[in-house]
Amino acid sequence: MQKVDIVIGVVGIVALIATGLGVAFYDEINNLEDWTVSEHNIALETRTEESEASLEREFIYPAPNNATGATFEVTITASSTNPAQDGNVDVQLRLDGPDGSSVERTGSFPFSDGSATFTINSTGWIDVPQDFQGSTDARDGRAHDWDGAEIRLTVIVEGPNTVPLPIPGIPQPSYEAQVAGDVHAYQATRDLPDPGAAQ
Amino acid sequence: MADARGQWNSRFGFIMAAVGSAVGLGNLVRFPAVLAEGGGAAFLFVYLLLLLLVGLPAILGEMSLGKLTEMSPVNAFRKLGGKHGRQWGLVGVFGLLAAVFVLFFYTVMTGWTLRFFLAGFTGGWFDDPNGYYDQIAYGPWAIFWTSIVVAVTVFIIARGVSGGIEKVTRVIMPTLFVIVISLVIYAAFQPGMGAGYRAIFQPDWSVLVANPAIITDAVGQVFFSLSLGQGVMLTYASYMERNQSVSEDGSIVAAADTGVAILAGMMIFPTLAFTGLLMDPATQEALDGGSFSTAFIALPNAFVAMGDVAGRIVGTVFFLGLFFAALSSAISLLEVPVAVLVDNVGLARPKAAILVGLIIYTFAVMSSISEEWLVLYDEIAVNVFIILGVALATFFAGWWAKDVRKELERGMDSRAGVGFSHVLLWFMRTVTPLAILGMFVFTGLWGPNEAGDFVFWGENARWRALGHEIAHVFGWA
Repeated sequence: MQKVDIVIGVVGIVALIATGLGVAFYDEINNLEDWTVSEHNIALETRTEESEASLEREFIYPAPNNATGATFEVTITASSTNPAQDGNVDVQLRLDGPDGSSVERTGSFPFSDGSATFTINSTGWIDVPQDFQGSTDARDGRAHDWDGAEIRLTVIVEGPNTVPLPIPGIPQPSYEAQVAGDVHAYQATRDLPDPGAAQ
Repeated sequence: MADARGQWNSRFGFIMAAVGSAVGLGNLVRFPAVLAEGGGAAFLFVYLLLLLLVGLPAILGEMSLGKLTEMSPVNAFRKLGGKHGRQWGLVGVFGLLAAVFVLFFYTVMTGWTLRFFLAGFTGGWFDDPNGYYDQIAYGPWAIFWTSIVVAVTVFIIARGVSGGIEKVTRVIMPTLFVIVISLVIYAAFQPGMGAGYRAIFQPDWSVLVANPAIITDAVGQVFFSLSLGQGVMLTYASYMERNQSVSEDGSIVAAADTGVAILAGMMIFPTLAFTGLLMDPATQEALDGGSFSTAFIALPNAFVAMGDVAGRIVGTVFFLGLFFAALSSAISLLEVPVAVLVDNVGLARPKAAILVGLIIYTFAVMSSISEEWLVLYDEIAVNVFIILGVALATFFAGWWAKDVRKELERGMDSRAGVGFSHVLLWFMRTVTPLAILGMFVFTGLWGPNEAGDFVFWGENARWRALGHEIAHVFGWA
């Protein structure tokens, strides 16, 4: 075996270690975080005078340094105590950035025989405010200190309310929803200065 | 010596490889945006003037160094430097390090283009044109695709100059030309494309008058676009046959590089126009953001606007072209350190390629997971190695190495005449080094501040930005 083969072997091992470290510490290096959303048996309001019942829940996460976007994958399971209930359930997932910008995804899913389960996921882009508290990098205008910023995941579930009148002795049908999933903050690159050498 | 190192099989093969080196991501997506923002035909006029007066002498000088010595950058300067060869060899080291540092992030970006091409078949950017880039740019999967790019590039380089580099670039470069021309023709026949041509060709001199810093940008664009200062053209020219003319072939490379950039503008801006997105605020923001935003956000939105079938086809073909442009540049960059190892250390080419590939990949892991490291590598490559290296190299070729001047005169004699070669050499000795040094100092010390005013030691002055980036990456600020 020649000396160069040993050098190649050593460099190869270093490359493997670098790969492992990069994969393992990607989030730490970029100060990113993952959150798990898990809310069960959230009761929807059911108002007899209204034709729709709705649930809105907001999950708030402190935004980490350097994160400029987030993805979310959330599964919503909605069910009603009235097994004969049919209709559509509208779902809205909204990611609100600290400056009021937001991205949302909506879906409308059939609701039959008392239950529906659906998954909605998306990638959200959050604009970083120029005047946000903390240091800013004038070159790219990104804020690098996110203390106090929040990423909001808002889940809105709406469904039909087909029992307008209360009947004594019979419990009001109600909706329930379970929301479970993940929110992952990442470092986006839309403001990346143009590499001069990348020609 | 040439046969042992490798040699191009044909003139066409060399030209395709050299054009492949010069034509990169910047030609296809950065130049058109810069052209539109810089005043259209007014900027183009200035750019072409700078290409003739500054870029062409520089590329011919660098190629002459390689062809004369038949050596890679470090040894080439050592040989022609005479008794000061060791000192001049450092200029070659600059080029070597420039190529290496560029590869630390260019391999990652090439991975992006490959993913975007493949995603044309699976959904990806078509399903989420605003968000797909954000999803794939960094992270563990980006590491994987970087490794694929490095592996492919190493494989091509390991097979040699004619058996690897030439064989691949003879296929991908003509394919790229066909793609670009086809998309230009397609866009030209769509209703509403006129605004796109006006955006890039209508002259607006007031932009240049209001912001003369654009001229220094144009100088930089010329250098980076021709792949100067990275040892690439020198290395490629070192494999030329004796009867090949540097002046003729170098001029063809420079012309083709600029031609592709202009054609790309004729493809991108009419496309944005006929899809109704040219004046869209989000598109304007993406164009202002630079190459990445243009390629990976503005254009996917335009492709989606074309419709399900046309958009997917056009978009996928475009990203294939982008991948070929990036890959051919990556190949040329990797050849530089491999050639240095082959020449200086006597390593066999395959092992040298594997060793260099592993080193490049190891450092590219950081660029794959951190935008800050990617930008840092770029800042170091440009501000430390490339600009200074090009300035010293052109001074060397123009003043120090008499043989370089004789080589150029020999080449010019066959076609354009002795007079033209004297003019060109005069520019190489005076205008080119002055322009580069001027750009180096001016953009190093002057730059836009937060308010956008071009001032001394502004936040975006190159050297200040470099210092800030280093401090930020290492947590000192």
